[in-house]
Amino acid sequence: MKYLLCFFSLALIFSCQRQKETIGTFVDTGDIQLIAPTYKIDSVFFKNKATVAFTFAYPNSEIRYTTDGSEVTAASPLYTHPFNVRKSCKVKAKVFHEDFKTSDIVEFDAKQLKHNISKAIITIAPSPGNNYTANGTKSLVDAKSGTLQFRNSDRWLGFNKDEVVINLSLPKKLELSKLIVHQMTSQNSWIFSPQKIAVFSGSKLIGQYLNETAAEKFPGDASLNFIEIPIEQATYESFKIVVHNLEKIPDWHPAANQTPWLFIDEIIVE
Amino acid sequence: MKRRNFIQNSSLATAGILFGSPVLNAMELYKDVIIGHNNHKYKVDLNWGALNSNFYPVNNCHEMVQDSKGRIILLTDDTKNNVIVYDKSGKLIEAWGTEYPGAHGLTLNVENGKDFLYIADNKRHEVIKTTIDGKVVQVFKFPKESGKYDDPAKYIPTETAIAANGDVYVADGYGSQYIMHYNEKGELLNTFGGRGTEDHLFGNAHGIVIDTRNNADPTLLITDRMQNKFKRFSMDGKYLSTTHLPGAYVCRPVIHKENIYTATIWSGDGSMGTGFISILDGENKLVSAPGGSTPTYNDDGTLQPMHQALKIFQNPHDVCIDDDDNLYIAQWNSGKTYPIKLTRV
Repeated sequence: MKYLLCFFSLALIFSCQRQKETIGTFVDTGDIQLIAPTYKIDSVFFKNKATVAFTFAYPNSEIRYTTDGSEVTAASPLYTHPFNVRKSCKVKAKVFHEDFKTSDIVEFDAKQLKHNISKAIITIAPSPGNNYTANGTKSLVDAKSGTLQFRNSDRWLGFNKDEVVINLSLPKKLELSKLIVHQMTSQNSWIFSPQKIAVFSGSKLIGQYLNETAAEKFPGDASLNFIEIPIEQATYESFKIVVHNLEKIPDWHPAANQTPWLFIDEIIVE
Repeated sequence: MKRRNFIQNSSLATAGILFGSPVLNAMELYKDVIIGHNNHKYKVDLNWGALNSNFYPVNNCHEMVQDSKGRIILLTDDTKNNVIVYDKSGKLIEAWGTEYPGAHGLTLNVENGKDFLYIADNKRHEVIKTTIDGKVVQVFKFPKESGKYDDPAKYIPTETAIAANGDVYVADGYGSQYIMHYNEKGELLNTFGGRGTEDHLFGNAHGIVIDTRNNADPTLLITDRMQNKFKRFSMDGKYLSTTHLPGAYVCRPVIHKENIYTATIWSGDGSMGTGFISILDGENKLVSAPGGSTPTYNDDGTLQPMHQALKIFQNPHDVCIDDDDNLYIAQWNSGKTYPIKLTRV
């Protein structure tokens, strides 16, 4: 028993030393997480197809992704080169590496347009802010999305006003039940989500979106969002869309009490 | 009885270790992270220089230098101790400085065999020269005489560089983007730069250094962080050339042997909380990016956009290289953490 105890004690000491030596001063691979891959898509809404590309330049790392809404696991398809999406879907991806913790997920919606309304006639009041006029009002129906890199972009219409009124005349009558506004939120850059969007046909309110959390602090830096507004199902020729900006940047923000920015790049009907 | 229980339990645990329990297998997998590329690879020590924050607090750790005695000097904007002096192992030697609320830029210059520090304070809107133990010897005040400023608030110096002849250059990196060129007496000789996107102008002239790698022909290397560029100027302020590092929001360039080192505060699209370290070779090509993606150049000589790869750094703001080629990383807005040491392997 004594010998056995001695032997075990030695083994214990040995194993402790080993533990100390390997855990030691330096950071261990298992404690470090990979960064999510960066993605590029030519437009998050599209008529026929959109091409998705991921980037993550680190040796022996693997990007895995799904387009069917399922969680990304080590068994999901391996990304090797850019691919096309041809219908509406949610694209998700993560980076895997045998030494490091798997990255956070990157995910985004890609939406196939049901109707081409690129010939719609649009007026907007007030006009967008100087640097964010995109290619004029037509940009709202051009099937081209902006990205989070909104500076020097020709896709985003940015407004620094309390309220924006968009009048939209469709090129032909359409039976519709939904209107979708694509917008960006980037609170660090003073860009907030709208507080309310009201959709009128003539003077009749046909649909409304209320956002109770527009003033709350969002996790993460910036996001692109489709705001879906159900409308009374009917045949329509034109709409008036009134977008209500948050009145003031909330108190928790460094720019408290300033007027926030509102960024939209597309109006979609279904 | 108790003792026997203990023995039995520990024996069991030991047996578990011996016979390869999952615990042991997990331990076997411990592997030090090695970051960086080519000949510049490092192990990471996140605990280097950690002190009791009740006594020696840091806010933003802005910049670090090594002095002639081999000590590592940290500049922070916590006015309880703006300057914290460590040995290379991270042991505290001394701390001083309560008068530098906007302590941002730290440059060490040896003058007649003595070390001096130049502190660019972006809240005081001036640069202060001190002895190595903190005695103020000269103040470079708001440069009204430049004719470029109607208000001291528009002058927010971030960095200094001192030439062999004693001339002092100051980068107004958070202000109006001018570069001030003084003689050693503090007389303004020249002002150049200014805000803009053209080659000779700056979006954020965050750092400046004198590139002495070609001894016969020293030049100024000035950061344009917003444009992800280092811009080279003659000593009299003429624009010469640009090194573009897409995706790398570079802070001040630091020259060590044949390399340029720089903390890259953000990466990719400039999102906060990201960042890595950049190391350029003698040809000003990015050869190693500890914590970042693998640097890859296209056939036309342009660098593919860089991005953070591993979550190690959070807004790294400066890099100090010691005489053993190890690195010390000061971080901005990282939750008041002390510097990170990278040990070269």
